[in-house]
Formats: sequence, structure tokens, C-alpha cells
Amino acid sequence: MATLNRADWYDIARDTNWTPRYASVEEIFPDEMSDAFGLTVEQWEAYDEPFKISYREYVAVQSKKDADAYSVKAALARANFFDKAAPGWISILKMHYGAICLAEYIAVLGEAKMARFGKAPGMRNMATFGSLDEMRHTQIQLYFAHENIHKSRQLDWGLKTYHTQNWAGIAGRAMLDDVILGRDAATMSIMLTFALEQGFTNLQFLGLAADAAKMGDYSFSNLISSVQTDEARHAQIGTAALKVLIANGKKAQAQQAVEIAFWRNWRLFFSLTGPAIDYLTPLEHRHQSFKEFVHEFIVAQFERAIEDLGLDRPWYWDFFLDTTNYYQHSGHLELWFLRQTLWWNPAGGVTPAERAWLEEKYPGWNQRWGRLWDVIADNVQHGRQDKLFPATVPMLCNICGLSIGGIPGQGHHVKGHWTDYGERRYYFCSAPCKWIFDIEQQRYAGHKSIVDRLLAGDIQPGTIDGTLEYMGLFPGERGDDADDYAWARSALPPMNDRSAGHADAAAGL
Amino acid sequence: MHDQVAARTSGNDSKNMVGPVLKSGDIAEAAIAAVQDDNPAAALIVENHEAYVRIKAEGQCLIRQSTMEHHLGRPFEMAELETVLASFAGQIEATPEYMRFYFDKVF
Repeated sequence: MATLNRADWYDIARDTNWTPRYASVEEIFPDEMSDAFGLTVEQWEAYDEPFKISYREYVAVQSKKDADAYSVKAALARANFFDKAAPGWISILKMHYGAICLAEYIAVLGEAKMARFGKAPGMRNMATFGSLDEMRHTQIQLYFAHENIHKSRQLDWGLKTYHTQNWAGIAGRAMLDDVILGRDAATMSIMLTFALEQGFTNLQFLGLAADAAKMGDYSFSNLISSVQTDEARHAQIGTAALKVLIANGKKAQAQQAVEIAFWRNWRLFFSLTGPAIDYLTPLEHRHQSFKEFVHEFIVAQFERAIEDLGLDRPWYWDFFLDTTNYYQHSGHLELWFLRQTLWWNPAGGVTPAERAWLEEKYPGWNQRWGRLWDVIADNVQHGRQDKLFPATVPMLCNICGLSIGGIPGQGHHVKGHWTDYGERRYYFCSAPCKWIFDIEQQRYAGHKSIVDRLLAGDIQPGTIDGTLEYMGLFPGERGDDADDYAWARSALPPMNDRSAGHADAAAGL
Repeated sequence: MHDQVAARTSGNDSKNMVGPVLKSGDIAEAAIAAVQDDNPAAALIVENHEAYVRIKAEGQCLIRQSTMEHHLGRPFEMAELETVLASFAGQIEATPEYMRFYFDKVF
């Protein structure tokens, strides 16, 4: 029996814009759930999703993807990769699962909101598949994480992170709430699918997949690149939405949505993917530097996509490009220093050979960060345990939830950004984070970082142990150096090279 | 850094390079061959990143279902390319007969 081509029936089959008789269009699609831009259902009918797929095709394709991912895992299960891999790599897996698994579940809810409240039939159709995609990502990654949970309870953070008050979980939740759960379908299609999925997920899911393949972790490499194939499809929801919005005179508002979401995502992804690629992946298995991945996927690919749609580069673009030289290095140093508060064990990643790689990829690295690691190594070698942990809490940004920092060793590179609102002062890491807060101050003012909570007396007792317990970190879960400080015993250059830079470096810490 | 596994270019990696990023494997290999057949006039670069290959064609990158079948030596539905399509540069047009990557604005 001859069947029609998909192209011959697709549009009419997915066009479910019936004329409602029992409820008004406004009741069915309230602006706060559907469309903060206020376009009509008729205007949204121009929406033409570029990546069309039928339900039959979707099921066939997805079952192939799952069969592939699970069969590679099963085939490699006896190889005991987890027991043999470098500790830094195991830390990447723990970090990934804890940060990602339930973020995928938040995306299930986001896609479901677009599937219900999107005014364009094409958006609703694509987001239905998108929601199923994200369920797959949640479940399959939890399943992979739990394979080795009997070997380390830190892997339980795959399920746990976003249910705790861990500072990184708070930061992740705040971002995901802002760009996904707290937005209407149209805005979310830009913030979630365009900015996050077309931009940043490539870094974590393809950048790390490249390193994982070099590492011989084919199970993980195959898993995350499989996840990214779903993203490549449903990330197109936003492309089509942007075309409709721009055609209807909403470019400025759409541009602002891209800029908010891009920056919020960058602030989290540099701290997650950056240290993984530049420090935690064993040196011999590194494919490219984090900066090189950012340039491949964000500058060459995403920036070009922005231009192609008729949008402008975000106003902070030059500043963003500059931060690709240093955010991940200061971020890694900080994560290592705050390692007790993490659910993974960060590797120092600064042996002499690794320093040579860092200096080659980031000229000036030794002068900036190397000198600080010298101080830490010296403290390790002389058994100064008290100096290996922070004596005070970091200053956290009231938008991104990460610490306020800059480039060490160059005088005071950190710039103050703040806004006075209501009864208090809010501090920010950067001009873009302050800009985001100032757009809608009331939206963000109620959010308290872990440091705000400590100062307000919400955390009792306000000791290190009390704070760690408040964050849900119990003994056996708290991070420590992945290599038991072995790097520190090999990291020091001859003493006479170091004495000159010491005072500066110590001041920088 | 990645290796270049195939190139048909004057050497300039222009701002108009479009195309898929594919999970490595037999479908990706067939796609590399298909892209060369289906875009005879375009400058091409194929980068091997081990876990993935990045195919770049200047201006437009077309992959036909029939060309994929020819190189795979088996029936192939265009939608199956999605099983390895991890990312792409440019915009996409996905039909049962072909997948096409392109830019609206060419520099």
C-alpha cells in the first residue's frame, strides 16, 4: 500500500489550532504561561519548525539511540573501567551526574510547558518530543550514575543535588528556575532551547564526549553524545520562535532574552565544563582546551547562528570572549579550595607536565595561577593543613551564585558591582549579572545565596560542619583532593624561582 | 587538536561553513562520503574529533537519502541520521529525501 510522504500530511496533522467554543483563547493561553511577547495565535501560525519528525519516526529513532547506548554499556560493563580510570576522570563523572541528571528533569517540565502553552502548533508538537527526550536524559543518566553507586556514595548526588541546599545546587536551581520554570513558553523557547541547548550543552556533551573517547570511556562518551542528538533536534524550537518574534517587531525583547540566558548559562558552564576539560581530564587524553571548545561551539557556531537569525551579538560579547581566558582557571582553583563542599573530588591537575600544557594553551598561566598553586603545594609539603582550606566564606554573586573573582597576581583585578534595592545591597560578579538583576529587581531580590543564609542565621550551627550538613554533605560524600595531593609533591620548581612571587601570590589567594 | 580527514578547499575556513557534527561510526562515514557526492562544487573540510566528526561545507551542505543508502549499502530513512546528529552549524531543513544545512545570510 502506498503511503503519503510525511511532507504531504505533516502540516495538517499537527495543526491543532481549533476554534475554541467553551473557553476563550486568553483563558487557554494566558500570557504569563504562553507568551510574554503578546503575539496572537494567528501570528504564531507562521511558526515553521525546521526539524520535522513524525511520531512513528521519533519512536523508531529513539529506540535505536537507546539500544545503542545500553548495548555499549552492557558490552563494556566487564571492563571495570570505573575501577581503573584516573581519579580525576571519576570526579568528572560524579560532577556531571550530580549537576546534570535532575537538571534534565527540570527540562522535562519546561518542554511540557511549551507542549501545553506554546501558541504555535509546531512548537507544541516539537516540545512534546522534547519533553520525552528530557525524560530519557534524566532516566538514562541516573541509571548510568547508579551503576557504580556501591563504589562511591558521591554518585548518589545524581539524584540528590537539586534536592539539597548545596551552594552549587542552589546556583544551578536558580539559573534553571530563571530560564526554564519561571518563564512563559515563548520566552523559554529562546532561553532554554536556543541559548542553553544550541549554545552550551554542546560544551559539556560533546567536549566531554571527545575527551571520554580518548580516555577509553566509550560508555560515557556514547551516552552523552547520544543525549546531544536529542538536543540538536528539539533545540530548533527556539530558532523558529525567534523568526516569528523578529518578524512581528519583537527583536529587542527577544535579544534581551537571549542575552540573559546566554550569560546565566556561561556563568555555570565555565565552572562545570571548564575545570573538567582543562584540569580533571588526564593530560594524555585531552582533545582540546576548554577555550578551544568554546571557540568551536560558541564562537564559530552559536555566534554565527545569532547573526544568521538577524539578532545582534550580546552587548557584553567582547567581555565574554576575554573571560574564556581566565574564568575556568580561577573557578577551578576555587572549587579545589572549597572541595569539602563538593560531591566530587577535584584533582589539582597542576603537575609540571600539566602546567606546561596550561602555559601553552593559556600563555601567562604560570604567572597568574601557577604561583598560587605553588603556595598550596608548599603548604601541602610542610603539612600546614589549616592553610589548605578557606578560613572564610567566599563572596557570592546574587545572580549566578558563584564567587566574585578575577585574575590573580595582577593587582586587584576584581571590580565591584552592586545594586541597592529594598533593605539591602546586592553584589554581583560582573556587569552582565548586575544588568540581569536590574532588569527585574523584584524577581531576583528574594533569592538568598548560601552566604546570605549564613549571615542571616538560617544555618545553625554556623560552623563549617554545620554548614556542610546544611548543604546535605555527610561524611563520605564531602570532596577531597582526587589524587591525595600527589601533584603537590611534584609541582614545585626550584626554591629560588619561587621566593620572588610568593608574597604577591599569597595576597592573591 | 583534531585531524582533518578530508578536505576540498582553497584553504580558507570561511564564515559560511555549514554542516553537521556527527557521532563517529558507520553512519558518519557514509555521511562524509555522501556530502562529497551531494555537494560537488562546495569547499569541504571534515574534522575528526574522535567521538565526533565535524563536516563543513561552504554555503550549503546537502545530504541525500539515496546517497546515504548508496554508501551504506542498505535501506536508510533520512530520519535515522538523527541517531548520530549531535549538533550542527547553520540552519537545518529536514525532509524524508534530504537534510540540508544552510545560512540565510551569507558573508
